[in-house]
Amino acid sequence: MDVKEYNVCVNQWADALFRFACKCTGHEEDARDVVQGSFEVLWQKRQDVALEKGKAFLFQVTYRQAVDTYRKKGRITYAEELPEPASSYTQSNPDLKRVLERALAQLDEKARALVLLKDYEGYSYEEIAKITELSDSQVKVYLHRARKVLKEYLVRVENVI
Amino acid sequence: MVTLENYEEYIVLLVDGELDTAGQAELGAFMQLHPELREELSLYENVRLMPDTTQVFENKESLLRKEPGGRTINFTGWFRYGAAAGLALLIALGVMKWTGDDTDNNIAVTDTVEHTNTPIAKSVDTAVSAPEQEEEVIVQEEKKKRENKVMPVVPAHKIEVANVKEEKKGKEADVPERLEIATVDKLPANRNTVQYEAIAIPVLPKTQEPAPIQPEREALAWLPISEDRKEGLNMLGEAITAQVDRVKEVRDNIKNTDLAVKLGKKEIFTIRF
Repeated sequence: MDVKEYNVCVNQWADALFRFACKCTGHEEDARDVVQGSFEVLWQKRQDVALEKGKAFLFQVTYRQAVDTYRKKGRITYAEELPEPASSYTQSNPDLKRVLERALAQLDEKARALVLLKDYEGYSYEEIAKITELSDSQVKVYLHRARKVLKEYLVRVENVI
Repeated sequence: MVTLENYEEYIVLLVDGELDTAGQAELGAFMQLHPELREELSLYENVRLMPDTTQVFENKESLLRKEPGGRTINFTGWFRYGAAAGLALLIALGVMKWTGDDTDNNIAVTDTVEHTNTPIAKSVDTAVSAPEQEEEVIVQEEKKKRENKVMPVVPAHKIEVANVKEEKKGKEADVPERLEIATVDKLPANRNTVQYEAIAIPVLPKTQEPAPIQPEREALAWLPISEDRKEGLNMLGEAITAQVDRVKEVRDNIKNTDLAVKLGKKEIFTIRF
């Protein structure tokens, strides 16, 4: 990967990485640091990374750094620290979106990252396994548990309302 | 096979797009048998998260990198030491040339005096086969010119011509101040000639008073060294005196100068020497 291709990666994936890091760390400033660190790693190893592998490489580095940051700081007020969603949010029901944000905070950092990689980026189980360095079956089990937790949270909130 | 124990796993795989066509067919058949589970399928479909595309990484330009401006030559291994040695050699040669030129300039002042006088004597000895009487006159002429501190390059035959005229006209005849150009063509044919450049020389009148001897020369007069060396020392002393005078002149100029520091039109401070 040369300088031009590196800059293509920045323009294509910086926003997606930032959103992913925001959800993983629960804090925008930490997310900015994580994204900057990820691109720094990509720049240092650009000779070994092809352009088509750039996205997976960046998400792998961001995943590791975000999980480490979250574990070090031990944040538990994830949902409250996030900004209010923008009005242009595309999901049909804004209330459902807010409920899901809170439901996401119930998950541990690893399950949360798996859900985000699946829903935000549309990665397959196999690709997620490579990024997170888990086995395919582990990814399947983690995601099954995570979906079940989210669904139960949604049912619980609907019952309260 | 889809059962009441594992149907959720099939539903999650379906929502995540990981269920193959055979699995989709099995799940469809199972759901037709258990329509009460359709609501649960709908809930799983709703727990898919959507990204907020308005949330972006600000100042993305800070992450961008620039193309390197020029080509970088990488010196590796022994080539690096070779390049360094070459550079050091160039610097050394430059310093030697600089200092060498300076020394040559200093020596050239004294060398010129010797070189202008010596060939004349030699040319008299080798080129002119004149009587001894003539040679004596030539040597006397040389001495007189040295005393007058005039050291022109005079071709031997020109001196000889002047001497012949002196013999004819006698000592009372004044030689007018003029420029005479000696050429090889004017030399007598029977002489073993040595070619010299045609040089314009002023022939001074004999009545001219010798230049006043400077104090430095008087101080050197008692030294037991040859005249040539005395002259060299004398010229060196004159050169030093000239440099000292220049330094004094610069110092006097500085004394009469003010140094003013201004910021825009406003004068900050002035230094008076």
